[in-house]
Amino acid sequence: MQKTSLSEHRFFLLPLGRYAKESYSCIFGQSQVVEVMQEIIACEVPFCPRFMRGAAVYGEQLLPVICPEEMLGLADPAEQGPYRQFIVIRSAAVDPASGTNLLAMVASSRGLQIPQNEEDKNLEYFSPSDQVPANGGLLNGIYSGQGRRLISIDFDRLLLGAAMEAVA
Amino acid sequence: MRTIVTFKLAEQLFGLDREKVVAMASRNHRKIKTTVKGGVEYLLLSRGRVSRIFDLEQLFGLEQPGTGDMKQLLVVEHGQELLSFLVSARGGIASVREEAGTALPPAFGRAVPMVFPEMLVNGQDAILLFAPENIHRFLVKHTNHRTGRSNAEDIVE
Repeated sequence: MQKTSLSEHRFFLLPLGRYAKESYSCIFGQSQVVEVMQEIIACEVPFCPRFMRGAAVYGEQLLPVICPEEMLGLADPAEQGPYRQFIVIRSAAVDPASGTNLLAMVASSRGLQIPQNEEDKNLEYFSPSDQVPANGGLLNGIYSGQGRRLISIDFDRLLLGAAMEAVA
Repeated sequence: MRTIVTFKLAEQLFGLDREKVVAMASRNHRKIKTTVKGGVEYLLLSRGRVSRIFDLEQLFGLEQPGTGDMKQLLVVEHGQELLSFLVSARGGIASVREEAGTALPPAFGRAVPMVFPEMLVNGQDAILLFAPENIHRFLVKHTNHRTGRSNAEDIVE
């Protein structure tokens, strides 16, 4: 465990787990967020983990639609309402075919936020081992403090197919 | 140009190349004859041939209640054998440019894009293309992540 200051970094938060006892949010660096969309053209792709909600059209390419609440085991099964936002996230991973950075579309029922609370900017860093209910292996880490947990998803591994290794 | 036959599974559009499709008919059509052996349903074909029937909604984890009697039977050719698939509803026929499809990105791994190699966009519709010739290998190896059941146990003889 180490103290980490986030105050020098600009970031966005995506609140998760409306029904979870603790307050969880995904954290995205400013340079990761490409665009926020409200409507997409997408279809479900069979044989994928439940958190991969399908493939969506973005310009000339298809992006995987990722639901962080499903991925982290924070979704309420009774609440299957429509998503409010689709956030296009840029990863550092490069598509071997096109040579461009791989993108993901993150589905959110709550909406991206700019952190307002100064307490959010001085948190402790944890390795993701057992801090979330599911898929901790697909996280970079967790920042924790003041009763909240800010989760950094490892989009580089995810977009190179790490979630599908069991299906490969 | 490429001609695609479309069909629906749980309100979602799927498609496959027309040259792979041998026949499409209502499951309840009077000329459709089936038999059940060991809990598995087979379509009876001419010259004593049989073709196992796969329910694609069940196989893909897209099941919707109450559509059993309305289903359509789609028969496709794979080498010397015929594969029969139950689908929710017929779609239509679409002519598209050869290069119109877009491949699934690397996030979907290697196996899934073998069965669903491309997606087409037609207006507001997204059509996931299905490659039935690759389904057998997938059935043997993989687990349905939505149901947690092994497709090998459920489907393969």
